[in-house]
Amino acid sequence: MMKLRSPIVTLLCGLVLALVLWALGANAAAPKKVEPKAVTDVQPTSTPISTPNPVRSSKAPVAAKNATYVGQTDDGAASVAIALRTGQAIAYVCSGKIESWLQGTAFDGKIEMTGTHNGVLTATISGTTATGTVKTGGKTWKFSAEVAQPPSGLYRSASQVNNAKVVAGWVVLKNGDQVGMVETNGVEKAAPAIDTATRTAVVDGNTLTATPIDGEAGTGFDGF
Amino acid sequence: MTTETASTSTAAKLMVPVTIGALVALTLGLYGKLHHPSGIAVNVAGFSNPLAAKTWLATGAAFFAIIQLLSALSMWGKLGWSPSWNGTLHRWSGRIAFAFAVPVMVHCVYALGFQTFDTRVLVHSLLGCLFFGTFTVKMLVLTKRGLAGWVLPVVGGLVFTMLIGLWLTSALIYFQTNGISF
Repeated sequence: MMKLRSPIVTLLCGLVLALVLWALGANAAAPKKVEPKAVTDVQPTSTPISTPNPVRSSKAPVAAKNATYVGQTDDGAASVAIALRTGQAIAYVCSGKIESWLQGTAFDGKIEMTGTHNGVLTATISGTTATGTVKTGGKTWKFSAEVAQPPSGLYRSASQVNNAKVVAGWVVLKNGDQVGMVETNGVEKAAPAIDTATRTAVVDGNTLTATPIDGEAGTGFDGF
Repeated sequence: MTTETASTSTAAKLMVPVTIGALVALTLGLYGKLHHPSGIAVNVAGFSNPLAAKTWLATGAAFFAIIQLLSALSMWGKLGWSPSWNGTLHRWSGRIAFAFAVPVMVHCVYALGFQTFDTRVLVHSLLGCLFFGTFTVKMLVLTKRGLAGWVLPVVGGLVFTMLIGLWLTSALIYFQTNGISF
Protein backbone atom coordinates (compact mmCIF):
# COMPACT_ATOMS: atom_id res chain seq x y z
CA MET A 1 0.00 0.00 0.00
CA MET A 2 1.47 3.30 -1.10
CA LYS A 3 2.43 5.55 1.78
CA LEU A 4 0.59 8.83 1.76
CA ARG A 5 3.90 10.68 1.70
CA SER A 6 5.43 9.17 -1.41
CA PRO A 7 3.75 11.47 -3.97
CA ILE A 8 5.14 14.42 -2.02
CA VAL A 9 8.56 12.79 -2.21
CA THR A 10 8.15 12.46 -5.96
CA LEU A 11 7.27 16.14 -6.27
CA LEU A 12 10.18 17.19 -4.09
CA CYS A 13 12.61 15.03 -6.06
CA GLY A 14 11.38 16.63 -9.25
CA LEU A 15 11.79 20.09 -7.75
CA VAL A 16 15.33 19.35 -6.58
CA LEU A 17 16.22 17.90 -9.99
CA ALA A 18 14.82 20.99 -11.70
CA LEU A 19 16.71 23.36 -9.40
CA VAL A 20 20.00 21.49 -9.85
CA LEU A 21 19.67 21.52 -13.63
CA TRP A 22 18.66 25.17 -13.57
CA ALA A 23 21.68 26.07 -11.46
CA LEU A 24 23.97 24.17 -13.83
CA GLY A 25 22.42 25.95 -16.76
CA ALA A 26 22.67 29.36 -15.11
CA ASN A 27 26.28 28.69 -14.22
CA ALA A 28 27.14 27.69 -17.76
CA ALA A 29 25.22 30.57 -19.26
CA ALA A 30 26.78 33.22 -17.03
CA PRO A 31 29.39 35.37 -18.76
CA LYS A 32 32.72 33.65 -18.20
CA LYS A 33 35.20 35.58 -16.06
CA VAL A 34 38.76 35.99 -17.31
CA GLU A 35 41.00 32.95 -16.68
CA PRO A 36 41.85 32.97 -12.95
CA LYS A 37 45.44 33.15 -11.70
CA ALA A 38 47.84 34.03 -14.46
CA VAL A 39 50.71 31.61 -14.80
CA THR A 40 53.13 34.22 -13.47
CA ASP A 41 51.79 33.64 -9.97
CA VAL A 42 53.23 30.17 -9.87
CA GLN A 43 56.93 29.57 -9.26
CA PRO A 44 58.40 28.48 -12.54
CA THR A 45 59.69 24.99 -11.96
CA SER A 46 60.66 22.13 -14.16
CA THR A 47 59.22 19.50 -11.88
CA PRO A 48 55.55 18.88 -12.46
CA ILE A 49 53.40 20.19 -9.67
CA SER A 50 51.33 17.49 -8.07
CA THR A 51 48.11 19.45 -8.18
CA PRO A 52 45.59 17.88 -10.50
CA ASN A 53 46.08 19.06 -14.01
CA PRO A 54 43.08 21.13 -15.08
CA VAL A 55 42.50 19.31 -18.30
CA ARG A 56 40.15 21.01 -20.66
CA SER A 57 37.36 18.94 -19.20
CA SER A 58 35.08 21.94 -18.91
CA LYS A 59 31.80 20.79 -20.38
CA ALA A 60 30.37 24.29 -20.12
CA PRO A 61 29.34 25.25 -23.65
CA VAL A 62 30.97 28.36 -25.05
CA ALA A 63 28.64 30.92 -26.60
CA ALA A 64 29.37 31.96 -30.16
CA LYS A 65 30.80 35.42 -30.64
CA ASN A 66 28.23 38.22 -30.89
CA ALA A 67 27.77 38.94 -34.60
CA THR A 68 25.27 39.15 -37.43
CA TYR A 69 25.69 36.87 -40.43
CA VAL A 70 24.10 37.63 -43.78
CA GLY A 71 24.08 35.57 -46.93
CA GLN A 72 22.10 33.73 -49.55
CA THR A 73 21.01 30.18 -50.14
CA ASP A 74 23.26 28.30 -52.56
CA ASP A 75 20.69 28.60 -55.35
CA GLY A 76 20.26 32.30 -54.70
CA ALA A 77 16.55 31.89 -54.15
CA ALA A 78 16.47 33.23 -50.62
CA SER A 79 18.44 35.39 -48.23
CA VAL A 80 19.37 34.40 -44.72
CA ALA A 81 20.33 36.58 -41.77
CA ILE A 82 21.37 35.24 -38.39
CA ALA A 83 22.03 37.45 -35.36
CA LEU A 84 23.90 35.95 -32.43
CA ARG A 85 24.13 37.44 -28.97
CA THR A 86 25.42 35.69 -25.83
CA GLY A 87 24.50 32.34 -27.27
CA GLN A 88 21.02 33.36 -28.29
CA ALA A 89 20.23 33.26 -31.99
CA ILE A 90 17.55 35.03 -34.04
CA ALA A 91 17.32 34.38 -37.75
CA TYR A 92 15.20 35.24 -40.73
CA VAL A 93 15.08 33.47 -44.07
CA CYS A 94 13.18 35.11 -46.87
CA SER A 95 12.71 34.43 -50.56
CA GLY A 96 10.16 37.10 -51.25
CA LYS A 97 7.57 34.35 -51.46
CA ILE A 98 8.19 32.35 -48.30
CA GLU A 99 9.78 33.32 -45.02
CA SER A 100 10.52 32.03 -41.58
CA TRP A 101 11.53 33.68 -38.33
CA LEU A 102 13.65 31.40 -36.22
CA GLN A 103 15.02 31.34 -32.71
CA GLY A 104 17.59 29.14 -31.08
CA THR A 105 21.07 28.79 -29.69
CA ALA A 106 24.65 29.30 -30.83
CA PHE A 107 27.20 27.41 -28.77
CA ASP A 108 30.49 25.68 -29.49
CA GLY A 109 30.46 26.91 -33.06
CA LYS A 110 27.05 25.39 -33.82
CA ILE A 111 23.81 27.20 -34.48
CA GLU A 112 20.52 25.35 -33.92
CA MET A 113 17.19 27.02 -34.46
CA THR A 114 13.51 26.33 -35.03
CA GLY A 115 10.89 28.70 -36.25
CA THR A 116 7.67 29.55 -38.02
CA HIS A 117 6.36 27.48 -40.92
CA ASN A 118 8.16 24.39 -39.59
CA GLY A 119 11.43 26.26 -39.94
CA VAL A 120 14.63 24.53 -38.87
CA LEU A 121 18.12 25.98 -39.26
CA THR A 122 21.41 24.36 -38.41
CA ALA A 123 24.81 25.82 -39.19
CA THR A 124 28.43 25.73 -38.15
CA ILE A 125 30.58 28.79 -37.67
CA SER A 126 34.10 28.85 -39.02
CA GLY A 127 35.88 32.16 -38.65
CA THR A 128 33.54 34.77 -40.04
CA THR A 129 31.43 32.35 -42.06
CA ALA A 130 28.38 30.40 -41.06
CA THR A 131 27.36 27.55 -43.36
CA GLY A 132 24.47 25.24 -42.96
CA THR A 133 20.98 24.20 -43.93
CA VAL A 134 17.66 25.89 -43.50
CA LYS A 135 14.29 24.25 -44.03
CA THR A 136 10.96 25.98 -44.16
CA GLY A 137 7.64 25.71 -45.94
CA GLY A 138 8.64 22.42 -47.51
CA LYS A 139 11.90 23.71 -48.98
CA THR A 140 15.41 22.76 -47.93
CA TRP A 141 18.28 25.10 -48.74
CA LYS A 142 21.97 25.06 -48.11
CA PHE A 143 23.36 28.49 -47.38
CA SER A 144 26.49 30.37 -46.54
CA ALA A 145 26.55 33.64 -44.61
CA GLU A 146 29.29 36.09 -43.67
CA VAL A 147 29.64 38.45 -40.73
CA ALA A 148 28.08 41.72 -41.79
CA GLN A 149 28.16 45.30 -40.57
CA PRO A 150 25.39 47.87 -40.74
CA PRO A 151 23.68 48.88 -42.95
CA SER A 152 23.64 45.28 -44.13
CA GLY A 153 21.98 42.91 -41.72
CA LEU A 154 18.55 41.97 -40.43
CA TYR A 155 15.67 44.36 -39.86
CA ARG A 156 12.32 43.67 -38.26
CA SER A 157 9.22 45.69 -37.70
CA ALA A 158 6.28 44.57 -35.56
CA SER A 159 3.32 46.80 -34.91
CA GLN A 160 -0.44 47.15 -34.86
CA VAL A 161 -1.73 49.01 -37.89
CA ASN A 162 -5.46 49.65 -37.99
CA ASN A 163 -6.16 46.71 -35.67
CA ALA A 164 -4.05 44.40 -37.79
CA LYS A 165 -0.84 42.78 -36.57
CA VAL A 166 1.85 43.67 -39.09
CA VAL A 167 5.25 41.99 -38.91
CA ALA A 168 7.88 42.66 -41.54
CA GLY A 169 11.42 41.47 -42.00
CA TRP A 170 14.26 42.42 -44.34
CA VAL A 171 17.65 40.96 -45.09
CA VAL A 172 20.04 43.53 -46.50
CA LEU A 173 23.05 41.93 -48.20
CA LYS A 174 26.53 43.41 -48.27
CA ASN A 175 26.12 44.64 -51.81
CA GLY A 176 22.98 46.51 -50.84
CA ASP A 177 20.54 44.03 -52.38
CA GLN A 178 17.68 43.29 -50.11
CA VAL A 179 14.64 41.07 -49.81
CA GLY A 180 11.81 41.39 -47.37
CA MET A 181 8.32 40.24 -46.63
CA VAL A 182 5.46 41.61 -44.60
CA GLU A 183 2.83 39.55 -42.81
CA THR A 184 -0.50 41.16 -42.05
CA ASN A 185 -2.74 39.08 -39.80
CA GLY A 186 -1.17 35.93 -41.16
CA VAL A 187 -1.11 36.87 -44.84
CA GLU A 188 2.40 37.17 -46.23
CA LYS A 189 3.65 39.02 -49.27
CA ALA A 190 6.83 40.62 -50.55
CA ALA A 191 7.63 43.94 -48.90
CA PRO A 192 8.91 47.08 -50.58
CA ALA A 193 12.53 47.96 -49.89
CA ILE A 194 13.53 49.41 -46.58
CA ASP A 195 15.49 52.66 -46.38
CA THR A 196 18.45 51.60 -44.24
CA ALA A 197 19.30 55.18 -43.32
CA THR A 198 15.91 55.89 -41.76
CA ARG A 199 15.03 52.22 -41.23
CA THR A 200 11.56 52.82 -42.59
CA ALA A 201 9.49 51.35 -45.35
CA VAL A 202 6.10 52.31 -46.69
CA VAL A 203 3.80 49.30 -46.84
CA ASP A 204 0.24 49.69 -48.08
CA GLY A 205 0.41 53.38 -47.42
CA ASN A 206 1.68 52.99 -43.85
CA THR A 207 5.21 53.81 -42.79
CA LEU A 208 6.74 50.99 -40.81
CA THR A 209 9.79 51.59 -38.65
CA ALA A 210 12.14 48.66 -38.28
CA THR A 211 14.67 47.75 -35.62
CA PRO A 212 17.93 46.19 -36.72
CA ILE A 213 18.45 42.82 -35.06
CA ASP A 214 22.18 43.17 -34.51
CA GLY A 215 24.17 40.61 -32.56
CA GLU A 216 27.10 42.93 -31.91
CA ALA A 217 25.06 45.95 -30.85
CA GLY A 218 22.47 43.84 -29.08
CA THR A 219 19.49 45.65 -30.60
CA GLY A 220 16.34 43.75 -31.41
CA PHE A 221 16.82 40.90 -28.98
CA ASP A 222 14.68 42.11 -26.12
CA GLY A 223 11.02 41.63 -26.72
CA PHE A 224 11.61 39.73 -29.94
CA MET B 1 -24.35 20.96 12.78
CA THR B 2 -23.40 20.68 9.18
CA THR B 3 -23.58 17.69 6.95
CA GLU B 4 -21.15 17.76 4.09
CA THR B 5 -22.19 16.01 0.95
CA ALA B 6 -19.58 13.99 -0.85
CA SER B 7 -19.27 16.63 -3.53
CA THR B 8 -18.65 19.55 -1.18
CA SER B 9 -16.16 17.45 0.73
CA THR B 10 -14.30 16.65 -2.50
CA ALA B 11 -14.41 20.27 -3.58
CA ALA B 12 -13.03 21.41 -0.24
CA LYS B 13 -10.26 18.85 -0.36
CA LEU B 14 -9.34 19.81 -3.90
CA MET B 15 -8.95 23.49 -3.23
CA VAL B 16 -5.46 23.43 -1.80
CA PRO B 17 -4.00 21.03 -4.40
CA VAL B 18 -5.57 22.93 -7.29
CA THR B 19 -4.34 26.24 -5.89
CA ILE B 20 -0.82 24.89 -5.51
CA GLY B 21 -0.95 23.40 -9.00
CA ALA B 22 -2.13 26.68 -10.42
CA LEU B 23 0.74 28.49 -8.70
CA VAL B 24 3.21 26.01 -10.19
CA ALA B 25 1.80 26.56 -13.68
CA LEU B 26 1.79 30.32 -13.21
CA THR B 27 5.35 30.38 -11.89
CA LEU B 28 6.66 28.42 -14.87
CA GLY B 29 4.79 30.62 -17.31
CA LEU B 30 5.80 33.90 -15.75
CA TYR B 31 9.42 32.89 -15.37
CA GLY B 32 9.50 31.61 -18.94
CA LYS B 33 8.02 34.81 -20.28
CA LEU B 34 9.83 37.37 -18.18
CA HIS B 35 13.38 36.09 -17.99
CA HIS B 36 15.76 36.56 -20.88
CA PRO B 37 16.13 33.24 -22.74
CA SER B 38 19.69 32.17 -22.32
CA GLY B 39 20.07 29.85 -25.26
CA ILE B 40 22.19 27.63 -23.03
CA ALA B 41 22.56 24.21 -24.51
CA VAL B 42 23.44 21.54 -21.99
CA ASN B 43 24.12 18.58 -24.16
CA VAL B 44 23.73 14.95 -23.16
CA ALA B 45 26.46 12.66 -24.39
CA GLY B 46 25.51 10.48 -27.32
CA PHE B 47 23.10 12.87 -28.99
CA SER B 48 23.92 15.02 -32.00
CA ASN B 49 22.53 18.16 -30.44
CA PRO B 50 20.49 19.35 -27.45
CA LEU B 51 17.27 19.35 -29.43
CA ALA B 52 17.77 15.66 -30.18
CA ALA B 53 18.48 14.96 -26.50
CA LYS B 54 15.28 16.70 -25.46
CA THR B 55 13.29 14.99 -28.19
CA TRP B 56 14.32 11.54 -27.04
CA LEU B 57 13.84 12.36 -23.34
CA ALA B 58 10.37 13.63 -24.20
CA THR B 59 9.68 10.49 -26.22
CA GLY B 60 10.78 8.40 -23.24
CA ALA B 61 8.41 10.35 -21.02
CA ALA B 62 5.58 9.79 -23.49
CA PHE B 63 6.38 6.08 -23.65
CA PHE B 64 6.17 5.74 -19.88
CA ALA B 65 3.03 7.85 -19.88
CA ILE B 66 1.41 5.25 -22.12
CA ILE B 67 2.46 2.59 -19.60
CA GLN B 68 0.80 4.84 -17.04
CA LEU B 69 -2.43 4.89 -18.98
CA LEU B 70 -2.48 1.14 -19.47
CA SER B 71 -1.62 0.36 -15.86
CA ALA B 72 -4.29 2.79 -14.68
CA LEU B 73 -6.88 1.16 -16.93
CA SER B 74 -5.80 -2.18 -15.52
CA MET B 75 -6.02 -0.99 -11.92
CA TRP B 76 -9.53 0.26 -12.51
CA GLY B 77 -10.56 -3.05 -14.02
CA LYS B 78 -11.00 -1.79 -17.57
CA LEU B 79 -8.61 -4.21 -19.24
CA GLY B 80 -9.97 -7.44 -17.82
CA TRP B 81 -6.54 -8.17 -16.38
CA SER B 82 -5.36 -6.77 -13.09
CA PRO B 83 -2.12 -8.22 -11.78
CA SER B 84 -1.07 -7.39 -8.25
CA TRP B 85 1.92 -5.43 -9.46
CA ASN B 86 0.04 -2.97 -11.67
CA GLY B 87 0.04 -0.37 -8.89
CA THR B 88 3.79 -0.59 -8.55
CA LEU B 89 4.19 -0.43 -12.32
CA HIS B 90 1.94 2.62 -12.43
CA ARG B 91 3.83 4.48 -9.75
CA TRP B 92 7.27 3.72 -11.13
CA SER B 93 6.41 4.39 -14.76
CA GLY B 94 4.99 7.70 -13.56
CA ARG B 95 8.13 8.59 -11.63
CA ILE B 96 10.33 7.76 -14.61
CA ALA B 97 8.14 9.76 -17.00
CA PHE B 98 8.29 12.72 -14.61
CA ALA B 99 12.05 12.36 -14.20
CA PHE B 100 12.48 12.47 -17.99
CA ALA B 101 10.13 15.42 -18.35
CA VAL B 102 11.89 17.65 -15.82
CA PRO B 103 15.19 18.16 -17.71
CA VAL B 104 13.29 18.82 -20.91
CA MET B 105 11.21 21.44 -19.12
CA VAL B 106 14.21 23.11 -17.52
CA HIS B 107 15.93 23.48 -20.88
CA CYS B 108 12.78 24.69 -22.60
CA VAL B 109 11.93 27.27 -19.96
CA TYR B 110 15.45 28.49 -19.34
CA ALA B 111 16.90 28.46 -22.84
CA LEU B 112 13.86 29.18 -24.97
CA GLY B 113 11.28 30.72 -22.68
CA PHE B 114 7.54 31.04 -23.09
CA GLN B 115 7.10 31.69 -26.80
CA THR B 116 4.17 32.96 -28.75
CA PHE B 117 5.52 33.52 -32.26
CA ASP B 118 3.74 30.50 -33.66
CA THR B 119 0.58 28.56 -32.70
CA ARG B 120 2.60 25.42 -32.10
CA VAL B 121 4.99 27.08 -29.65
CA LEU B 122 2.14 28.91 -27.93
CA VAL B 123 0.22 25.67 -27.40
CA HIS B 124 3.42 23.97 -26.27
CA SER B 125 4.26 26.77 -23.84
CA LEU B 126 0.75 26.73 -22.35
CA LEU B 127 0.60 22.94 -22.12
CA GLY B 128 4.03 22.85 -20.54
CA CYS B 129 2.97 25.12 -17.70
CA LEU B 130 -0.37 23.37 -17.28
CA PHE B 131 1.19 19.90 -17.34
CA PHE B 132 3.44 20.56 -14.37
CA GLY B 133 0.61 22.26 -12.52
CA THR B 134 -1.74 19.34 -13.17
CA PHE B 135 0.94 16.80 -12.28
CA THR B 136 1.37 18.63 -8.98
CA VAL B 137 -2.37 18.37 -8.41
CA LYS B 138 -2.27 14.66 -9.22
CA MET B 139 0.49 14.05 -6.67
CA LEU B 140 -1.17 16.12 -3.96
CA VAL B 141 -4.54 14.52 -4.54
CA LEU B 142 -3.01 11.11 -3.94
CA THR B 143 -2.27 12.11 -0.36
CA LYS B 144 -5.92 12.68 0.39
CA ARG B 145 -8.59 10.22 1.35
CA GLY B 146 -12.31 10.42 0.82
CA LEU B 147 -12.28 12.06 -2.59
CA ALA B 148 -15.03 11.32 -5.08
CA GLY B 149 -14.28 8.46 -7.45
CA TRP B 150 -13.90 10.61 -10.55
CA VAL B 151 -11.02 12.72 -9.26
CA LEU B 152 -8.06 10.41 -9.91
CA PRO B 153 -9.14 9.32 -13.41
CA VAL B 154 -9.92 12.90 -14.45
CA VAL B 155 -6.69 14.39 -13.14
CA GLY B 156 -4.67 11.43 -14.39
CA GLY B 157 -6.35 11.68 -17.77
CA LEU B 158 -5.56 15.38 -17.98
CA VAL B 159 -1.91 14.77 -17.11
CA PHE B 160 -1.67 12.09 -19.79
CA THR B 161 -3.41 14.19 -22.44
CA MET B 162 -1.22 17.20 -21.77
CA LEU B 163 2.00 15.20 -21.95
CA ILE B 164 1.00 13.70 -25.28
CA GLY B 165 0.01 17.17 -26.47
CA LEU B 166 3.44 18.41 -25.47
CA TRP B 167 5.09 15.60 -27.40
CA LEU B 168 2.96 16.29 -30.48
CA THR B 169 3.93 19.98 -30.49
CA SER B 170 7.64 19.36 -30.20
CA ALA B 171 9.20 15.91 -30.58
CA LEU B 172 6.88 14.91 -33.39
CA ILE B 173 7.81 18.03 -35.35
CA TYR B 174 11.48 17.32 -34.75
CA PHE B 175 11.13 13.77 -36.07
CA GLN B 176 9.09 14.96 -39.03
CA THR B 177 11.75 17.47 -39.94
CA ASN B 178 14.85 15.45 -39.17
CA GLY B 179 13.67 11.89 -39.42
CA ILE B 180 14.04 9.47 -36.55
CA SER B 181 17.61 10.46 -35.76
CA PHE B 182 19.80 10.76 -32.73
